[in-house]
Amino acid sequence: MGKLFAGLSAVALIAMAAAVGLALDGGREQRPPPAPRVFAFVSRHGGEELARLRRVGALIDVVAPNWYELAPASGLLRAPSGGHRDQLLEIARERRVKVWPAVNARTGGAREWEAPEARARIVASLRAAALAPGASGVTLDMEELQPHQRRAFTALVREAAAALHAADRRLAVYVSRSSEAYDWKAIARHADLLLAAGYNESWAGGTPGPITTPSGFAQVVERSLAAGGRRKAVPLLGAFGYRWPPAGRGELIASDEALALRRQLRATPRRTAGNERFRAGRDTVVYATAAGLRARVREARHAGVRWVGLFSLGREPQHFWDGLDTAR
Amino acid sequence: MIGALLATAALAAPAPGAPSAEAVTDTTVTLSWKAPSGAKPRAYRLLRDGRIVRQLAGRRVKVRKLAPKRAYKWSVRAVDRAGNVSRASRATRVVQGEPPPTTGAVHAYLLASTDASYTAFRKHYRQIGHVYPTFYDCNRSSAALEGRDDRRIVRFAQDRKVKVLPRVNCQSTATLQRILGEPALREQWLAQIVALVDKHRYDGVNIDFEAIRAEDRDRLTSFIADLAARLHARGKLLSQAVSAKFADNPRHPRSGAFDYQQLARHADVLFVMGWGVHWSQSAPGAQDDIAWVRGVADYVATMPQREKWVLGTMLYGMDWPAGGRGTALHHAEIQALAAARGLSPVFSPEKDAWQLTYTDAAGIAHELWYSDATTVANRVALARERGLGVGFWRLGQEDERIWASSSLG
Repeated sequence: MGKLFAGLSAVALIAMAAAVGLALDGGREQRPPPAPRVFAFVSRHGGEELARLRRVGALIDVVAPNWYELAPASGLLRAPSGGHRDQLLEIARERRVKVWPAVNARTGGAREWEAPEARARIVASLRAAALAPGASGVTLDMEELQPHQRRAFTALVREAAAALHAADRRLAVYVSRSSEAYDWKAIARHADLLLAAGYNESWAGGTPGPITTPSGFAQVVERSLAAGGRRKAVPLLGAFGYRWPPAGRGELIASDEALALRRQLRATPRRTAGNERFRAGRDTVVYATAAGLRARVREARHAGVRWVGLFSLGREPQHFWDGLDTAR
Repeated sequence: MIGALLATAALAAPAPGAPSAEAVTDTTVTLSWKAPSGAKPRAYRLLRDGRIVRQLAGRRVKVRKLAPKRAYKWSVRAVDRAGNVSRASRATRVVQGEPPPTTGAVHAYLLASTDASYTAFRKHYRQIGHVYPTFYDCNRSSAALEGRDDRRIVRFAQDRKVKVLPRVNCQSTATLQRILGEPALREQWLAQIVALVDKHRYDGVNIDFEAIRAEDRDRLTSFIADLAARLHARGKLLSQAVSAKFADNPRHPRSGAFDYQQLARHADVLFVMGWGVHWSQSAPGAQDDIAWVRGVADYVATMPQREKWVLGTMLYGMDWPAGGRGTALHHAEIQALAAARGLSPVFSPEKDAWQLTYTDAAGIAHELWYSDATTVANRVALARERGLGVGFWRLGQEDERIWASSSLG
């Protein structure tokens, strides 16, 4: 028995205990944990994403459209204008979805941004993004950080949160599951939401495999809850797929594109851990399924999270939303 | 014969009761009246000062878009099923209320030649304490004071307790040299400005003399002192626009003429034009780089009678074609340009300003710098922190969201 449980995470144990408790209770119905709020990245801005937002916006609390690019050293912020931005804002307003645009910054491992004056420039740019029309917050997605930049990044989050809160705006911060540069607990102290990547167990630059596994996601749920608590932890689901050539980087594709390709090729998928895998010629395709994603949401909900995140809207299987219970 | 009968029938029909008014505001009134005796009328015609303004089925109506403080006489006629119209009821005289007064303290220029500026003023007047309509200019050839009043603007502002100080503008070095230096012309200007204030019952005047030779520094101070004395004797205000500086250099070609210390002794308001690091004929760049504005604010905050000083912020953008002269653009124009060309503005946190670059149809590269509500709010906050007033050049070209800022009051 002990051995049986050793391979399971605490989250899985909690879920199991809940099921056992239900059985021991003689089948009497217990109140289910509250349905989670939904945070969704919108990484592309084609018609599909907007159509999806129009269709399921009523289930979503916050969207983070992929609008801004920030140069970490100078703090220069490249912003969008017109077109899809205005359409997305209009749909979000109609559906009463909050918009916290994503500010993407790739440091390339550089250190210039660590200086206090450089951080102040970044904070000013984040504030400008958060105060843009229609926005009520901002989502910081700073990547390619080095482990020794852990303190500087925490300081940046602290300074950004102070500036944004003073302007009545909110801050969500993306944290990687593998990098030591992100001090999850310290970040969660200042940020309003801790966006914990629960995907890329297999990634574009690696070998083909599932994007998210139940155990891997459960670990992220557990760790984000420990760092941020129920109100701030947002485990992010990888709701997409990859198509890997025999050599070289995989290409990110939407789950529905992968499904359509599988049907077109009449390929028989191998189902593993909420993902489906099949061959497309010499390529290998793995993608998240609606059932698998919904199962992860259910598990996270039973583990006690009040939020789940999605990367990214329009790339998830459209049936993911069918019957999904969310807080809105 | 039939017409006479109908007319007699109509006259014979009983009139409804006189309208009674309730919920009278500056622009609306709710009227109601009693039905006439006899059969229920099909409709009522509402008359304002004897003219029909509406026909309605009920006996209660809210009338909108009335002029504040104006008296109207309201009456009604009943229309029966056959279309006969009754006599008019007795008229009720209703005087509309005062419009809500401003509670704001912003000093704002209003470009009198555009409706956009006046429209913005009407919309946001409650945050504005002093308005400077651009009524008067110097004639560069004759050095005469020219221009005309616009009653619409003055009446609207004064009805709402916004002080009206029309701008007297001159930006010609040679003309100003004459106005400040030739005794007869100087006296003519002083007398004419005071006469305009008297004639149009302004609350004062705003002097916007720019491009003054540094050598005319004392003459400018003397002119301001003289004008202030004459206006103060009438209970009127003197506001003056001054070039920004962060140290006093009496030889500076742009700001040397403005002796801050002395001017503050006489003028009631000193509006510091907190922009101009880059301008239409300079190389492209942020016109009000925040570091520069901070330096200006810090210096101004050391001046005596700090309550007289206003930190002015520009609300427009400037588009420089490569090698050419910059063109001022409104915020809405910039947004439309960015949207039409699919441009991605770049925010410079160092300058606290936005930048756009693009190439036009003729292949000419452009560089555009502008402010938005966020950057304006930062300058407003800076003024507040230094204990200075807040001013804008000018209404109608701004990012509309600036008015949502609670710091504007």
